[in-house]
Amino acid sequence: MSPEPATTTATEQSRMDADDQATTGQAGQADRDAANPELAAMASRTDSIDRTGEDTNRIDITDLDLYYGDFKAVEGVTMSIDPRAVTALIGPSGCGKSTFLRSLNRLHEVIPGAYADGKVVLNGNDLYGGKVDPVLVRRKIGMVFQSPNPFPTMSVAENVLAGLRLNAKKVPNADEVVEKSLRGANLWDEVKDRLDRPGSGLSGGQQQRLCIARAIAVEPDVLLMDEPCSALDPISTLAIEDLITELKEQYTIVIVTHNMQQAARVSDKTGFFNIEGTGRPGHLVEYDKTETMFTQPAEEATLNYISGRFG
Amino acid sequence: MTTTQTPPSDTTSTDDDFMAGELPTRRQDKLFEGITTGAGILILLTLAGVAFFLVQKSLPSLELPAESLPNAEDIGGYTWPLLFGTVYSAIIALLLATPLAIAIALFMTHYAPSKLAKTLGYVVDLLAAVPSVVYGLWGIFVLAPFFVPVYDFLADTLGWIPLFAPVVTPSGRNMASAALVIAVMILPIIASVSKEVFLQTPRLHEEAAMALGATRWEVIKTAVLPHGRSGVIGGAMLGLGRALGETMAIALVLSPTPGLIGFAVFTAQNPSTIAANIALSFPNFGGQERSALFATGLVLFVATFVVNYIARRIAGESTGY
Ligand SMILES: Nc1ncnc2c1ncn2[C@@H]1O[C@H](COP(=O)(O)OP(=O)(O)OP(=O)(O)O)[C@@H](O)[C@H]1O
Ligand SMILES: [Mg+2]
Repeated sequence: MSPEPATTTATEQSRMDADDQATTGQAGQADRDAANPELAAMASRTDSIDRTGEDTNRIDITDLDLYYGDFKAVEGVTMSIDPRAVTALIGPSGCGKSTFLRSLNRLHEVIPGAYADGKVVLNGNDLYGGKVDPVLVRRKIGMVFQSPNPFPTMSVAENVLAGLRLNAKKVPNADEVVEKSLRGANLWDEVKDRLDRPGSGLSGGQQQRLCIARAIAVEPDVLLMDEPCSALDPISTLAIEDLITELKEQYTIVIVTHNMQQAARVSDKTGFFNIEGTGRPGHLVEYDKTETMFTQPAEEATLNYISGRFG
Repeated sequence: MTTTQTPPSDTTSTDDDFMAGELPTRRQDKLFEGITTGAGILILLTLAGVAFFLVQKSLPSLELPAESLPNAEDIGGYTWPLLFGTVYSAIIALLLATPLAIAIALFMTHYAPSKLAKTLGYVVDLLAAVPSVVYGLWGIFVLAPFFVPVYDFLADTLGWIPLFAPVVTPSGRNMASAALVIAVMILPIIASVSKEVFLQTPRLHEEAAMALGATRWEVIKTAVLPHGRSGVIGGAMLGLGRALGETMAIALVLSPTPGLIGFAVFTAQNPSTIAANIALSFPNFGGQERSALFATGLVLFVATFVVNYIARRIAGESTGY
């Protein structure tokens, strides 16, 4: 069990993106609390939503176990996910990355028999606290799935507005929201002439960006992505990776990926999940800065996995 | 060089052999193709045979003397009120049954715990298996009297609408009861077809809606219903097909007024339907007059086709993704 490095490096991480990124490396530990709020405030957007607090939208996960009925799929995850940064989750197939990711917006439990045990704290609220409505959690924490899933009967614009229309019958300045979200997803120029055409008529990469636009249209606090590029060609993949890099200025992003290069390219921190054998629960082996994970991981298992993939 | 070139030529030759030979399963394939084609042709022939029979038998009705037809001058005047009654009762039944069937299907797929949903599924299938004569009797003795107070209330309060015009027949054996009985009969068809399509909603779309923070009802609105639309329409059309041809229940529940075309559903004067009229009149009609019944049967045959055609068009349109 080694969630230890996670908890120690986690607190200093938020200044990482405010500060210069990978170059400082380990240096953050000493001046943990110095001058952070200002830096963080500078780094964050100045818009109507209050994202100025250093730790706003940090996700603290404590001792999270995830079950499918009797089967324990994930065990004892403790980690702290940095705000306005990209956290990548890697690991072999079946180790519970998707399960874990889906537990962060309480989508795990929609599968019959599935439940979670543990704490996931966002902005002071335990998402699994007794009185918390999972529907509200999901409005705060958006998700992009492995295969693009725009609503097939809705137009491009309607897809973007789908989340907002849940909250309100009529969306004021709908056109504005559509444009802003599509621009945010780097899709505007490609679809601006066919906003009223079916969303399913777009290419796979465009559909995936449409799904990202749909997710960010509701201005969530956190964006979860489960292998968002696995169904896409290299060019669309690059487009989405660029987009992720832009989006992290505003959002806390957690991305599951099987692609090491992708994890290395887009993420600030990386968590490695592993599984001892079939039927055993997956667990978080190591969690650290991406650079560290890919150059000098503390755990042998991490090294094996990473070097196996990199050859 | 030459040695390296041999293997490819080898493989091409085996490829050729492979392509030239006939797989033993190909013969089964052909046999099966023959059987299925035969079955298809048989169906078409049967259909053509029925159509031919109907046309042949109904042709004499064109020359029927007016006095041999009750309340009608010619075959058109005889058929028209019956066609009206058929379509009218079927449409009312459909309007009553469809929303309820959709609600039942949604309850089974999205609200009920799985055990309850299963039980309910069996019950719905059982409803479909009840013979229509049983529904007819139940309609006369249970449903019609039970609804009389409701009819009274509606006629009192909304009587100015032609549909609800008084006077309510005390027995309750009116168009409303007939339509209700048919509605109960077609409910299982629509509900089970809807259930199937709702269950086939792509998980991805439901989860997409959930991930946006949709409540259960909103998931249904954004993912389930749009996906199920064509299937539900298809189910409704199947139900409509059954409603159009329903014979026993109507023949039992309604005491028709020959030749009537009227919209009031509570009164004692009700139009009859083609199928019920055939069943009721056949014993009383002589050979000559029976051609009129065949003519109405032909009209029903065609009407059912038209309904099916429209259903297919609608279902085809909305699956265009
Ligand atoms: N709906 C489900 N019902 C039961 N068990 C499930 C379900 N989904 C996943 N599991 C099990 O939970 C474990 C973790 O699965 P999960 O999908 O989270 O793995 P993953 O790390 O995302 O794998 P991959 O990289 O292949 O996507 C696996 O053993 C899997 O069989
Ligand atoms: Mg997965």
